[in-house]
Amino acid sequence: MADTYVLARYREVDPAAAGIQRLLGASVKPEDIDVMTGVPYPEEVWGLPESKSNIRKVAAMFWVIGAICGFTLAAGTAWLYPLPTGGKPIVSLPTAAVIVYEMSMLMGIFSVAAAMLIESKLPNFKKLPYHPAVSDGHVVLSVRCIDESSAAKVDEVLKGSNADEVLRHV
Amino acid sequence: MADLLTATHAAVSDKGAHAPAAAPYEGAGSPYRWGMAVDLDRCTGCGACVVACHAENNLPIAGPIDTDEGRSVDWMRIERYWEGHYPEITAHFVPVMCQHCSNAPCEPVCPVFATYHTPEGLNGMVYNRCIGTQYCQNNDPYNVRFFNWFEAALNFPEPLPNQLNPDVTVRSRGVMEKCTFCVHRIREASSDAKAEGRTVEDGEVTTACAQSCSANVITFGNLLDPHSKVSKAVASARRFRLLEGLGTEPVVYYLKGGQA
Amino acid sequence: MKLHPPLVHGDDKINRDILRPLFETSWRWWALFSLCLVGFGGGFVTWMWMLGAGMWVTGLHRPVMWGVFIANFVFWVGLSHSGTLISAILRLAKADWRRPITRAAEAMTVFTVLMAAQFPLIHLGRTWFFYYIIPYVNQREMWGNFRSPLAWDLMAILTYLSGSLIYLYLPTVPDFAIARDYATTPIRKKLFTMLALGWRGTRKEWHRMNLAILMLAVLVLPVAVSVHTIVSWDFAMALTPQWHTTIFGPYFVLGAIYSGMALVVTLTVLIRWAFKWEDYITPFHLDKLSKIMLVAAILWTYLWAGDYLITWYGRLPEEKVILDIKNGGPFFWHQLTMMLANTIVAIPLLAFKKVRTSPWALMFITVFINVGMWLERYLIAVPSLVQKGPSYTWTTYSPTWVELMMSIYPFAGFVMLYVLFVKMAPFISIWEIREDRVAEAYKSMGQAKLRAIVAE
Repeated sequence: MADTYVLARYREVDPAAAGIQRLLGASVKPEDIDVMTGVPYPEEVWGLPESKSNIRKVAAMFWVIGAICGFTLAAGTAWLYPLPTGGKPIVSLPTAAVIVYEMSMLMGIFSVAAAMLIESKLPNFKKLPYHPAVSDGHVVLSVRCIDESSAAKVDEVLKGSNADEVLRHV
Repeated sequence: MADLLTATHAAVSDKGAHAPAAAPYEGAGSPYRWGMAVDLDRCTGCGACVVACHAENNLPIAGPIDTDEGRSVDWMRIERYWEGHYPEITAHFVPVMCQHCSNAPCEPVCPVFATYHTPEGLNGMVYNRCIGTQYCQNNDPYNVRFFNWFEAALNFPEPLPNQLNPDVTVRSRGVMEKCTFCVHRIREASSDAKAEGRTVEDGEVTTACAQSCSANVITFGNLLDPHSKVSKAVASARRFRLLEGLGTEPVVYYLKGGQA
Repeated sequence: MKLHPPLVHGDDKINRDILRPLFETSWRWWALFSLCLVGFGGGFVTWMWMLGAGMWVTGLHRPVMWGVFIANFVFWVGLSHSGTLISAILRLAKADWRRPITRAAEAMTVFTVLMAAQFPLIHLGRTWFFYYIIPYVNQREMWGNFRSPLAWDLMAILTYLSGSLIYLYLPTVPDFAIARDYATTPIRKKLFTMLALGWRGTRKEWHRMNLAILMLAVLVLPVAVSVHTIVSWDFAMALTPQWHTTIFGPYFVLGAIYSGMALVVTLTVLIRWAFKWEDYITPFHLDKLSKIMLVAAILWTYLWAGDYLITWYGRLPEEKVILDIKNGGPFFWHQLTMMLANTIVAIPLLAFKKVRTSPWALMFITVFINVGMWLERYLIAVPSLVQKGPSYTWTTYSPTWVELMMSIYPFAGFVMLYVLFVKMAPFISIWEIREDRVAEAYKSMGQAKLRAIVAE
């Protein structure tokens, strides 16, 4: 089932945001509307539902996992295979604390990167709707339409919203 | 120089009539706690102990150039300190070897566990585990650890390999080494004794340096045995340990009390 | 020019300016790269030769077992810190002037850590068994000794290197997307398409990217502090006189920030000259960077003076002898040069705005500062070992040509990687500068013209 995508290119932010409002007014579902920009804009500018992300939770979880791994490594291996050195206790907590700290940070960092990429479904080399003008600072709206007739309707709405260019994604 | 002597060999000691409590290494359960007493009042600085150690432990032979560059390996060395001005000069001789500290600072800093403390109180050195980070030498306040700079083949040009002791490893390039209290002799005596169902008796095992000393300066034995010669020597009021203020708790006790 | 003509007329001047090095290479780049390759190759060959010959080719001997190699290690780890400082702290502090400089600084971090990470291998006696320090399951049931500061080093540098690499790469993805859109030759197109990971700039992608960068900044910053603290504990955990001091943690971190900032300024001045980016990196930016450097200089001097005063006042015999050889013996010139470079010349000169905004004055001062900081690392490592332990074993230390080659090796390697990076990724963060320009758009409110986005 091939979806059709209508792209609209704007040079400025305000007409693009107005275009989104017109689309919402024409009963286009918010999940079908996407905005592509060359820089991040605050979420409120678009008037679309807030983006959600689980990165924080994932990072916190992996931070704890890292801490446990670090403790197992530093204190666990010392306890299981004891080798006395220099009058220090076999399970020396101050030195284990250093390893716990480093492992937890390592896991935290990796999980943030992985969570970000996975949530955004990157890397993604499929031909998804995109216009290279985004790299020049333009704002590009992409609207997903089920069929040709709704695509034609969306065309109408967008052409009336001062878009520099309205085209279909191929 | 004399104040340097006292500075570097701080005579902070527990001068009592009893032998110090040579507790077994925590949780060890071994009947042995090897220790040594070195009587500085007797030492003449002849160097026989140094030679004996070289011969016994396959120490690399360094010529004058390498020694000048600080690359000689002397597990046992005789430190000589001059005191006074001509003609009233005295020399002080201090034989120094690995002190086998109970709180050895060299042990916890090795990242691969190449050095650790054995249940018998020896500071063990595992040559095949050593990767040569040299941290143990940096943390060693007595400078008794040595690095193998050269290949074994360079250390023992023909026909010297014929005189090597087969009981002792010949170390490869890149590993650290130090006095082991002739651990190969200890092992041999221990296993013989164990086969006979007893513990090693006093005098049955001794180190090469103690064996070769002509003035009976060095006494080696089991500090846990109250009747051993070393325990009796260590009970002396003349005893002190090197760099005692650092808290390394060496098991090598030095005896000094006579005239300077 | 192999760049695509403008797709539509838009804000493309910044793209063309900053993407230019990716698409054009001059003979000067090739000359510099070749020179670095020679230096790097020569150093690498020397290292391999030393592996075969033995450590006796260096000037090391008991009790000076850590010399130039360890000084280099600490120096290069130290240099890595300012990348993190600029991109992480300034980002969190919402200092917008950091935008043209972040990527160059982050790249600096990654490449200096890469150079530094080789030195623990270089100074090993049996480098071919280095993997003993890595904890892995083996039939001997041997794990690493995690009580050792060198094991902490392993974890810390691993964490810092991977963290910095991720922190360098993720924010570059949108810029790779721009490069992808501008590339015309098939190889470049394929390369940048892969590196851009299919980035489109949708609002969800941006939301997650911003969140990820924020969290990475929060995580990488403590790691950076801990890395140099742990490197300082390589010294401080030892009982060696003048090493065993609690001030080493903060002292090393401050020293790292100081020398790292100096390198950032050096590189920034060179890059803006080489690529004619005077529009993007202005004297304003140099002024701000130098102010941070001045603060670091003052703090470093404070910590050094504290350490010195305590040692001098206490007159512990084993520490006093080491102070004496620094004040009047074989290390006198090292200490004097260090004080001149780091304090006596740097602080008064940096106090003047004219100096802070003059690129070539800053070049001279910062290179001199890094010379001083290298000497500082050397002065920490070597004098304490030269007169350590019983006075019978005291000695001297003179490095050999092998140690000199191994000191040139990381410089050549770093510059080589850096100039390679310049060809691979947009060196100034295009999207961050654009973001700043968007935020700066003014809206009129009544009689006032106000900044559109104050902070986000």
